[in-house]
Amino acid sequence: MTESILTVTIRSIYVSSIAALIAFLSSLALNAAFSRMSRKYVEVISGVFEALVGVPTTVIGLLVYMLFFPGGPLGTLKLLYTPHAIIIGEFLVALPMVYTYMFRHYYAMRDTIRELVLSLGCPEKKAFKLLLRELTPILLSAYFVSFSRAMGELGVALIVGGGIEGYTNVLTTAIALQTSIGNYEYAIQLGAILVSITIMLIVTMKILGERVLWRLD
Amino acid sequence: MRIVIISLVVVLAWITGFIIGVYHVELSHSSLTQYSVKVSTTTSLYQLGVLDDLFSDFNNVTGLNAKFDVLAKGSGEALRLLADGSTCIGFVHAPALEQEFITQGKIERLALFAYNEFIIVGPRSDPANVSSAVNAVEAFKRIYMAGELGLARFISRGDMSGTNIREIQLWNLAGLNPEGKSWYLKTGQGMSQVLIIADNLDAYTLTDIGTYMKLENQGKLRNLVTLKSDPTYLINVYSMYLSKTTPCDDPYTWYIAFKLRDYLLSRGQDLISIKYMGLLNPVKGREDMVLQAWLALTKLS
Repeated sequence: MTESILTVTIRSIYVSSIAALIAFLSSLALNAAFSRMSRKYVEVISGVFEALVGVPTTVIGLLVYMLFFPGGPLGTLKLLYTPHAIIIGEFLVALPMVYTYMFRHYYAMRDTIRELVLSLGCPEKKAFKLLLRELTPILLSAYFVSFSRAMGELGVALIVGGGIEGYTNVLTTAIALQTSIGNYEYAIQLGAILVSITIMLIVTMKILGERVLWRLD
Repeated sequence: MRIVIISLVVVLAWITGFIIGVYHVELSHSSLTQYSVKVSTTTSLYQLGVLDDLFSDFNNVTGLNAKFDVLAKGSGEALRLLADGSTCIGFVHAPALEQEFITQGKIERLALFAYNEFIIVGPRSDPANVSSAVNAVEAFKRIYMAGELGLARFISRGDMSGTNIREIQLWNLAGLNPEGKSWYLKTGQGMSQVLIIADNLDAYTLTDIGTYMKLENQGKLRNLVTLKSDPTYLINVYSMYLSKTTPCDDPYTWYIAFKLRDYLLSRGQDLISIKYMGLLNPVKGREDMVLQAWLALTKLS
């Protein structure tokens, strides 16, 4: 392998953090939109999302390939085998998971906090502000859930990224390629890097995030 | 107020991160402005490292600064990508499958540029006595018999790669169908993984000599030895293809493809014979023999 591990790692972080950001923002928007609907419909929609959490990433990869291959509906965009295609695929991979995560926590928290705050005689507006403040750590970890899901998926990156050295090779595709040519030792080193990066990033961000949030009170 | 400041900091951090990221991607692929050709290849050639050598020598000799984006896949997938126009140039070794795509008019063969052979490898103890078989077909018959008796196992790629297709052809020639037998294990993995599995399970398998020698030299195979080689049934021909789909129908791709073809058949041949002796043979001087072998292979079902 001619490409340095550092380059692959940076590309991995870049691609998956953007995919996670898009997934995070859109599930925030979805949750906000659905929160005004009646609870019955929201449960049905969320059920669909919950079911989608388990869809194999290879299936999503194939779907994105079908969209972007030269004869496909979006083939003219020439996105196949670019990092952008991986970002789109990983966004689809991360979306159901981050949506479900947010949804569950939001509803659980909303009801308890509203009841508590209103019973203590707070105005409705202040209750909402308090809710937002209490929700912040959850939003933070929702982002990290989607980030690590995007970082660790292989199917999409392999099919629509192709693992082209120096362009779309991310950690997971590098691991898969090294495994398939029998270079197990190198593959496991890459795997160790992948795991430690995810852990390090998430733990530091969490500690930092909580420090900042603690100061709020 | 604090919330505003914090969110501002977060947003700023994001924007800087984004800019660094974009800059990095552009930097690491500065050839975005330069022309690049997508190439799909079988994993065996990728693993030998021969393509990297050929491409860099090609750029040196011709003075072209072509960038080749290489996707290492099995021959079946590599051909599919060619037929889709997802990649424009392909290096594969599955004659029967190639013929199918050629008759569909989706790909065009530019060159048969190298060949080596498949070998049957198995445990040192050789319970099926493959090493004394007269040819590859009889060797497969012996493995089948030993398998039925519970003495041997066979690991199959099962992924429509060139090696897998050759294996199926051999079973057909032997008039046997191992499908669904308990001793016949289909893995769907790459060649190296199959060799490692076969090594761990004391099983037989069919492999191209390049991948086997590479792993053998790295000391990854403890118990697997070459049991049967057979120049008639086990020749392995590598060909270069150009996709005839619209996305590849631009002058630059064609120019690069035909230049590369000319290079492969002239100077590339010398590079292969010098640097990959024993792993890969150039076709130079034996074009007829290789072509005949290729034609014979397309006719096998």
